[in-house]
Amino acid sequence: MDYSANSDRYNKMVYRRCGKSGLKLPAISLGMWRNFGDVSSLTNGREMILGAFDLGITHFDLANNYGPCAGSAEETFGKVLSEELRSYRDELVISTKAGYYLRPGPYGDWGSRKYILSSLEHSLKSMNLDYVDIFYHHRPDPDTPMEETAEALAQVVRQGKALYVGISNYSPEQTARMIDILNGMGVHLLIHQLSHSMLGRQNEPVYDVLDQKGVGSIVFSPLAQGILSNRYLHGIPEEPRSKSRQGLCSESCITPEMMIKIEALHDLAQERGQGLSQMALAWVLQRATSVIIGASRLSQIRENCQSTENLAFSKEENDKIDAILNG
Amino acid sequence: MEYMANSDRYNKMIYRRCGRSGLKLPAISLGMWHNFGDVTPFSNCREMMLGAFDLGITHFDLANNYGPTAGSAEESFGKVISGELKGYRDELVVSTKAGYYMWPGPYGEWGSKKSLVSSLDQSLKRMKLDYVDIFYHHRPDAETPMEETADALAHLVRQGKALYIGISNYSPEQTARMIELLDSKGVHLLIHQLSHSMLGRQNEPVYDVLEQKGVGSIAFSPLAQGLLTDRYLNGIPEDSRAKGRSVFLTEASITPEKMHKVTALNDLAQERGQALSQMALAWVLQRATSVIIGASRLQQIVENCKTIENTAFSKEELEKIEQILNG
Repeated sequence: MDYSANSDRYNKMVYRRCGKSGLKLPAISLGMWRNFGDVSSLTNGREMILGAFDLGITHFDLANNYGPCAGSAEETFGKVLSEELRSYRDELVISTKAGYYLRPGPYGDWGSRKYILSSLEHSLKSMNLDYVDIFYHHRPDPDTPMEETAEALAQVVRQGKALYVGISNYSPEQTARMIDILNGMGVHLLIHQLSHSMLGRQNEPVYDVLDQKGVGSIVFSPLAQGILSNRYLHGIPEEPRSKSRQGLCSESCITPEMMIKIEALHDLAQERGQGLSQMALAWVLQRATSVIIGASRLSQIRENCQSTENLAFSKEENDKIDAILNG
Repeated sequence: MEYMANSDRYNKMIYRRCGRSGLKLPAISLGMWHNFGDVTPFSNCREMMLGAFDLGITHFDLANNYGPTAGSAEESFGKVISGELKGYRDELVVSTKAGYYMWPGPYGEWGSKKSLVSSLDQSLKRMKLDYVDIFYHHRPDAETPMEETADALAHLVRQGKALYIGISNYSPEQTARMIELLDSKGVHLLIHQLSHSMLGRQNEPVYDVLEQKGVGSIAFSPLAQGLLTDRYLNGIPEDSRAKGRSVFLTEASITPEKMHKVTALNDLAQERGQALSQMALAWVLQRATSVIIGASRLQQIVENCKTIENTAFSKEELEKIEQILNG
């Protein structure tokens, strides 16, 4: 199949500098956590990847364990990259990660040098790449000295197997420490990937550290597993995630109190001329460099990208949102 | 076609040490900014390149975006270096650059590590080389931390993709800062490529920084886009750059005052037994390690190389030049 990227793609997206660095990220990035593995249709995966690029999404976020099955999202991406996107490699920022369980035994998890280096090798092979643009340590490892993890990250940068490094799910204190250790090795931490949404604000103190140190940020679960969409407005539908076993959002988390908040936010979004999900993404982008969206259909990506049409919030709107969330 | 380099070539050229370094550059270097792209007959490109080498010109200056079309000058060079010049790679100093617009999207220009690393990879592929001798950051990037650009340049040296590093179009202050940043990474800045001619002296303060820090220099546009030749002495010829669509030399910029100076300089050159262009090159070589000449015909290169027969200026000549330029 011959693919030629939409020549208008760079007029549609907003690009934002990732902390104090030379790298710009699209406001909306595509996350391949779900729906790009080998249990999903490759045709649909390809359509979403190419469609996202046509919308100006230059950043694709992966990890060694994304699928399902674990690892197969990288293989899917590698296929599309070595076919349709072959001549566009240098227009893309590709990230992967290691830190969660990947394979059995003591070397397939956490933060040892042994695991991190071998995992990146494996990821590069799966994706047919010489290097990734960003390599993350996916979660802090309390049992491995942070120096060892940092040294492994610095090494992949020196080897040219990653252009930049990131961390994910680190606490503010752990983040500050990792920044310092990497600095001591001559490596600037590019980015922190954290969970953040109007309904999940526990990580906001991380931003303070990042802002102070000139580190960028990218957010996952900005829609709180889909609760911040119009999906649940009229009760819990039959097919989506909360009814299926793979989702993280259970029926029990959608309480009547929660529904009241969601409806109030939905009304506010409509006043802004946006869908609830679009407002939820825009809201996160007030602090984050980029937000990661998941998708099972291209049309969802399109709708999410429309959030860039209105990213600004008045003080009144922000106050109202806080009142709703704290109400 | 069998090519055998002129065995007399090293007796014809002067080689000058590039700052405090081990590398010598020919006084005259060949710039491939224009006239070596794929809109020009390749046979003429090849003739100029081989003819230049036969004259002792060992340094060929390129950039990712030279052509037109962008990238095609490197391809022309790649054809000749893998063809006629194949046995002479180690006698050549090949430079390329990244910094100006090269491909669409947020990563195709300026000074991020992403942009520099991928651009050099592309250049090496187009030129069919494992490494370039000098890799330049082509222009300063006010928005990217200079640390990142320096880090990327140092990285490419460590990877062996470039033997030496240069910068271009940096101000004196930016130059001093980049020298220090690179020093702290154990990399010596080899060279600064700057615009300099008798009619364009705004960059002279850069030399002061370079000399103090032991950095070499190479000047582009030493003939002020052709104004410092005998081409415009009797009016603007129909087939000249100024009559064409060039944005670098327009008819309006050739003022009577300027032509008055050019005529006086031409008289002085004749007294020195040189053409105006030869005196103009020799004048720049008083400060620069090497000058870059452009050419559309081999004959121009032959003429320019005769400059080295008289590069000395008496005090009286220099004073007279100052008078003319300031008059």
